[in-house]
Amino acid sequence: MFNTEREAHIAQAVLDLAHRPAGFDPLELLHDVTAQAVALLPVRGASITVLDQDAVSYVTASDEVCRQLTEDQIDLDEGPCLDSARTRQPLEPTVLTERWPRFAYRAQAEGVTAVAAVSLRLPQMLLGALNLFLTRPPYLGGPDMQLAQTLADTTGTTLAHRHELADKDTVLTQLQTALDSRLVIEQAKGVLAGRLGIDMDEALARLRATARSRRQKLTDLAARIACGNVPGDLHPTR
Amino acid sequence: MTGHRRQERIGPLMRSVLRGASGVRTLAAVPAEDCAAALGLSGVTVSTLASDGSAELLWYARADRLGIALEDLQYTLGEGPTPDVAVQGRPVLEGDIARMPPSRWPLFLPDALHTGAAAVFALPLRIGAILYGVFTGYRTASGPLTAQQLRGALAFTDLTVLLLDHRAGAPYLPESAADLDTLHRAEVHQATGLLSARLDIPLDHALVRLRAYAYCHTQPLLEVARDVIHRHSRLDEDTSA
Repeated sequence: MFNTEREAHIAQAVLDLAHRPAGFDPLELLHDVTAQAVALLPVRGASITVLDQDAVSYVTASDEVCRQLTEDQIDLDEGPCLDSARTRQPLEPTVLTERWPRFAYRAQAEGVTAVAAVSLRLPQMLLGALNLFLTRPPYLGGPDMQLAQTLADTTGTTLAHRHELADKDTVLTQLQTALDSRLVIEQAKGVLAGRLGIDMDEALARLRATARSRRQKLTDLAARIACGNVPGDLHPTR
Repeated sequence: MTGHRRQERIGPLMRSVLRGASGVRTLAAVPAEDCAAALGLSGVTVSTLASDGSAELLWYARADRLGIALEDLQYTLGEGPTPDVAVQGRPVLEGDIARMPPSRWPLFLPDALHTGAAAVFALPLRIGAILYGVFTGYRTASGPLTAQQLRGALAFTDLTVLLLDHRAGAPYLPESAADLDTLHRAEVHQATGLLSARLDIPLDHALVRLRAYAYCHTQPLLEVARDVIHRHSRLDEDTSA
């Protein structure tokens, strides 16, 4: 028996991240965990970065603002997510201060005042981080951070199963080539935004919803749309 | 993937190949033998996609008999790593073709083994849903690519895409390292999609327009893309070709 509706949602989220068909799209899984974090935690948004040696790369985010704030840190080469990735330590909720002057300025312009991160791990290696963007206190407490870590761990376990026989290098390179498919999704978002007069966040929401309801891979649907073939049921209902 | 550090993880040889390519306008100006050496390969080739979807050999080292022979074989037989990538757009990485099931490429495999090839690697030359061609590498010794070699090969495919895009009409932007990073920024591809929808043109034409506009107005590509997304740009009002 669940005590609260939230507990049921949490169980559902973990199951959703763990239960993936063979050959699933790793990018879609990583995007889903950002969406689950937003649904279950008091955060403005979330993003995924991966760490390859000391280089941090952006992978995906729950929304355009968090994508921008993650890419900004990589561009500016400053920010708490980078520090936490490079020291390979999780980041307790951290208020943005003068320590990261240029990033703090950009984040505050979007209403983000603090950042937290938990590690994204495969069994033998640290893969990257689930970054959380926060707007106001009280910031995430211990149980919230634990839940974020559970979501990240479940994601890591699911990824590990996909790459069961692979060594660390192979996992990274396989992931890298899979992540190149990210560009298809951005192109498809642009096409949808242009055709339907919606913004990029709404475009991604419709892409995901349609891919889910059709049990189609997000990147397959995106490739179709990017080439100008927009399915009728994506159009707004009037 | 984004990040200025992308360039740091590809090894000194490939870095020097990319540096040497800075400012070139055609792939022909980039020595294929240097690229092959940087990736620990016997030979590398680039094929572009013809209008019927078949791959046509464009770039190779003159002395690379193996690469030329293998591409000829695949063109004739219609099977092998290059045709596979040309159709599916996904990488083919086979470190030991002698151990592959013969049914995978029933005609190509025996002939390829006869030429002395032991490993084949083929990567799509693509930007999202735009497929320009195939980058293929061959080695006479078996074994997988290392992570650094694969990263180097991926970085090289980015450069190749820019040069092939130039062939299609886009100006080549000379600072290749910065360009290669920009190529992975989400906004560039969102703007490409937007333009393609607003002007009802294919994605590759939309990208050429973006890059040409950036070049003509000496504006960073990322800035042009952001202007298109936020409708501050007149780029999509200009319907002249």
